[in-house]
Amino acid sequence: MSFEPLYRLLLLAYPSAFRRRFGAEMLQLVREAGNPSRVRLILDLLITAGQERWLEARGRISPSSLCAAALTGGLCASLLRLGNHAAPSGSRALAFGVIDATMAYVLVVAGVYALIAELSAPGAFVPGIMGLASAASGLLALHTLGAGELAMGLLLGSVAVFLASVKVPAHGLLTELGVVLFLTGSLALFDFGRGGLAVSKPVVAAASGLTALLFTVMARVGAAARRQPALSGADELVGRIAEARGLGQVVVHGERWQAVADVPLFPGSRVEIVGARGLRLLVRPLATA
Amino acid sequence: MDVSSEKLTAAEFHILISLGDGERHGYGIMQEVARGSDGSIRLAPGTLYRAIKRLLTDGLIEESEERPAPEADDERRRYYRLTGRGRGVAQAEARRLERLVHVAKQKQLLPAFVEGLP
Repeated sequence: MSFEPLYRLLLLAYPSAFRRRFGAEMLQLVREAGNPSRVRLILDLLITAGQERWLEARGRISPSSLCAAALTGGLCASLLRLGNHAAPSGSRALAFGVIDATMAYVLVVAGVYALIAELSAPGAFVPGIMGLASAASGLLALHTLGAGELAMGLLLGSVAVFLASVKVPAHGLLTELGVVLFLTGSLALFDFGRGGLAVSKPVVAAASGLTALLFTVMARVGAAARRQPALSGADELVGRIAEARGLGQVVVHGERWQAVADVPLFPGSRVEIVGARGLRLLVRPLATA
Repeated sequence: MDVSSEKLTAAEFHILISLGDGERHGYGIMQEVARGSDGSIRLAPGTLYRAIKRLLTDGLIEESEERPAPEADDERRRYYRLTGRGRGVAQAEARRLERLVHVAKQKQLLPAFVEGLP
C-alpha cells in the first residue's frame, strides 16, 4: 500500500502556516526518498509537528492542558521504557520501541482519551498532539506486530467514531457504535496470539470496561441534561409576569421580547407569559383588581 | 551581531555546510548531508524543514529565484542558498570546531595520537 496518502494525512498535525509553506516539499521529499523507514518518517513528523504546535501555542497554554500533556507524555514514556526492557531480538524489532502488544494496545487507548480531551476543550493542542502520537504509534506498533486487518480496521473505526461522537449529537448512537467497534477490535487482536504475541486479556478487559463505562456515563449525563427544563431562552419565561410595551412588545427580566395576545394590550399593563412560539412569547393580560 | 554567537543545531550546521558550494533543493540537501557525513546523518523531512524554517527566519539562508534549465527543473521544488550572514555563521562555527579539534589533538584524543600510546 502506498505510504503517501497516510503521510499526506499526518501532515495535518503541523500548524497550517507550516503545512502550507513546507507540506508539498515534504511530500515531494518522501516521494523522492524511495523507501526509507516508515516508522522513522512518522516519528519524525509527529515529533517536529509537536514542536511546531508548541511554538505556535506557547503563551496560550493552560495549566490543565499542561497537566494532561504531562500525564499522557509520562504514560507514553513509561510504556516505551517498559517495552524496551521487554524487547525481544529478531525480525520483529519495533516501532517506537514498543515491543509488547499490550503496551501498544494501551498506547492506543491512552491516545483516544487524550484526543477526546483535546476535542472536548479545543485549543490546548498539546493533549491533541500527544494523543495523536500515542494512538498512531500504538496502531503502527500493533500493525508491525502482525495485528490482523480486521482488528486494525475495527480499532481505527472506533477511534474515528469516538472522535465524531464528541462533536456530532447522535443521542448516544455513535458512542454505542464506538464501544462495539472498540470491543470487537480488541477481541480480534487475540487472533495474532498464534504468532507468539498476544495482548493481555486483563488489560483488554479493563480498558474495554473502562471505555464502555466512561462513554455510557457520558451519554447518560448528556441525555439527562437534554431532559432538564430549559434554563434560558423563551421556554424558561412561561409563568412569569411581564410588562406590556407598545409595538407588540413586552419586557421581562429587563429584556424586551416580541409578544402576541388574543386581546389588545395597553402599554404599562401587566401580562402573564403563557407560552412561547420560537422567540415570540404568548401572553394574556392579568385581571385587574 | 557577532555571528560566532549564533547557536546552531547539528542539523542546521549540516544544512549550511551542504549549501556552501551552491544552491540546493530539499532532497539535494538531504543527499548532500548524508554524503558529507558518510551516511551517518540522514535528515528526515520534518527535521529538515523545521531547520530550514529556522534558518530562513534567521536570515541564514534564502530561497533562490534562479531555476535550473527547464528540462532539468521540477516546478514543485524550491531551491535554497546561503546568505552572506549564513556563510559567516557557518565559517564561525567551523572555526570553533577547528579550535576544538586542535585542543583534542593536544590532549592526544585523536586516533593518530591514540595509536602511538603504549
